Amino acid sequence: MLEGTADAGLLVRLRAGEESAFAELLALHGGRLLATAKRLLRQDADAQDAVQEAFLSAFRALDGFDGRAGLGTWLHRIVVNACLLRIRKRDRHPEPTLDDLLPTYDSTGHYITRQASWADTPPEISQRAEVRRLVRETINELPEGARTALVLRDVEGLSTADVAAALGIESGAARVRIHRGRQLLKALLERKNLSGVLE
Amino acid sequence: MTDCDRPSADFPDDCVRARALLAKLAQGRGTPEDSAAAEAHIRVCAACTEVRRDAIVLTCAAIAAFLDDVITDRLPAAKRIVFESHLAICPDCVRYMIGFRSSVELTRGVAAAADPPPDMPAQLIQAILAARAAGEAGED
Repeated sequence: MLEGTADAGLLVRLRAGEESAFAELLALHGGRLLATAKRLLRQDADAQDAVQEAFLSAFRALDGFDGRAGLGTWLHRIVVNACLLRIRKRDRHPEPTLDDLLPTYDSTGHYITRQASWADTPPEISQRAEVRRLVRETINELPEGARTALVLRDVEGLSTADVAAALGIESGAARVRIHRGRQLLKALLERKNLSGVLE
Repeated sequence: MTDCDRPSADFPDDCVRARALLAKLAQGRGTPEDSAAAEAHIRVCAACTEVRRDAIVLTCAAIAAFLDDVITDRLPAAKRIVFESHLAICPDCVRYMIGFRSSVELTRGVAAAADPPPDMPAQLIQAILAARAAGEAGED
């Protein structure tokens, strides 16, 4: 409610073209959105360009903003779309698919190899700086399609339907990409012996 | 309605109890005694035997496809019984499920415990404001 009221006041000033309102909007949401762009694009310069494009496009669309979502949510969506557009335009370098890390099954559909045991991971483990660094680095090693879907779903917190809409694909296809990303991340964390960090 | 839905007077809660044991085993928390107790019931219950047959027929590959719904608690009840019955007899699926869940929870935990967002660089703010002003001037 408070956020809505604050948004409403800011929105009136933005629509009136008040310069200080634009500076305020950038200061209020810029850092968080820049972090989102860095997670999606991995490179600082790219992330800054995407955030700039997104804000300029948001400024142009202010009159059409219906206020159903908060300003922050609306801006987040615009930044995500700007980042995805950049990812799609990037030169596609061949990258390892990492398919060899996916589970393998025998002719009857059962696991060929013994699956690794994970110790119970207490929730507070993610507070540890070295664990956070390791998980982030590992996410960045995923192939682009799986990485983008996983970041949108498990890091940015979008629903599967919203991931599908952002990527312009069917919901079923989004589910497959998210699942593949999760499977590969699990395997990569195992390969890095995450349990060694957790102990 | 199956035998399991309408337990006999002699075993009123046996199906419920056996399935609770299967769920416990599926989470890797069951003991050999839990397994023996669940098995003892399944042997004498036609409906639970049928579920067990489905669970055995279901492959680990098919079970892995359920995981995204399992961790968000969206697996329909009928599939959950088969899923848990399979896990109760498949240690590899239990290990895979625990690793999968832990990995997703860790990712979400890391996202939630994110470092404070970086400050928006002053030169970026200036660049955006200048570009906006230039755009406005261009429209006039």
